[in-house]
Amino acid sequence: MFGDFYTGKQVLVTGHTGFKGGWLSLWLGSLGAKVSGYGLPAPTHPNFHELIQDGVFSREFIGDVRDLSCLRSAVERIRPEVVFHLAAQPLVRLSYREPLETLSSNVMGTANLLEAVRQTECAAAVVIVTSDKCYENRQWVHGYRENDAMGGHDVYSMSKGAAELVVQSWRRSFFAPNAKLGNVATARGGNVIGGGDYAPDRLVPDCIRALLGRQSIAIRNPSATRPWQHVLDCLSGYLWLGSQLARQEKNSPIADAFNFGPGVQAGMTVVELV
Amino acid sequence: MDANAPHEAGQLNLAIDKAAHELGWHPTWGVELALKNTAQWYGRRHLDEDQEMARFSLAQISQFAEDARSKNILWTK
Repeated sequence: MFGDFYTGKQVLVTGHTGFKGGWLSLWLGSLGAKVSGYGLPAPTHPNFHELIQDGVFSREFIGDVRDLSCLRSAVERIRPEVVFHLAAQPLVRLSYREPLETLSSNVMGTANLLEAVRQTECAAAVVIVTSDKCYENRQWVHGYRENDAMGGHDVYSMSKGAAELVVQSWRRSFFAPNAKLGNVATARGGNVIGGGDYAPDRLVPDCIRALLGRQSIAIRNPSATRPWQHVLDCLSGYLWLGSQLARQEKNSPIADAFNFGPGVQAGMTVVELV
Repeated sequence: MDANAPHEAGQLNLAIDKAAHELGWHPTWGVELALKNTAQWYGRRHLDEDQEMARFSLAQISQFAEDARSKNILWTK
């Protein structure tokens, strides 16, 4: 898998205590990578991280991506060859209650990660994970392409579009001209589902909780369609992108943005899913 | 419908042509397999009360890779 690229590689996963970061770390560990994690303690109990923690990580750093000096010292110690940046405030609804925290974690967190890599002159390939919500939503029926405009109504969506612009600027200003630094790309995933997601205000976890507790659930937007995708599908894209970024020449055309979605056939409305 | 729900954008599909052309990446599981594997994971954890979910999760990763290999997706090589 992945051309055996990850065997023995030093890999940093930020947000390793989250749902997606946990699955990514587990997969990397099974490929023989030396996986280090950097993130806050898992935000929910139960959580995926506590189920997979043993034996997956060579090092775990508990820290905030808003803390540049803490993040930089972790990068300095790990000297990663590949970085996957997933640490973020991941919930649209929480961004209405905590707009500034969402903005700082998702935008400054991304800038801090890039700064930590740059300041330590770490030659890592960097995959910054954002979201399909980075796009200005024009209610188009066709798929959004990587060169469509960024934008956002809610603060969460805006923060993902802003993080994309941060990466574009850091790439142009610092990474592209500096031969000591590696390729940087962004990965825009859709809504993922999978085992071990216990976050509030997410449809599948809400349904699981309701089923287990034999309660009814309130559906926020029953007619909304979400491009459902399993977390492993999304991660296969991130892992493949990371390995290609590391293997291709500096400033390769793939040091850019990529969508990783399910394609058109999988559209399903929220009410159908339930 | 939750009348107090804050604004959330409706339909949004991602075009994945670029990943297909430049990386040779394609999706592996459709929505049905995504849902099936998700439901199986929670059933295993909360109905069967499996304490070794790392092992079960790794088995799902292996199955996913096998399904991708049978579709001849580039990253499986």
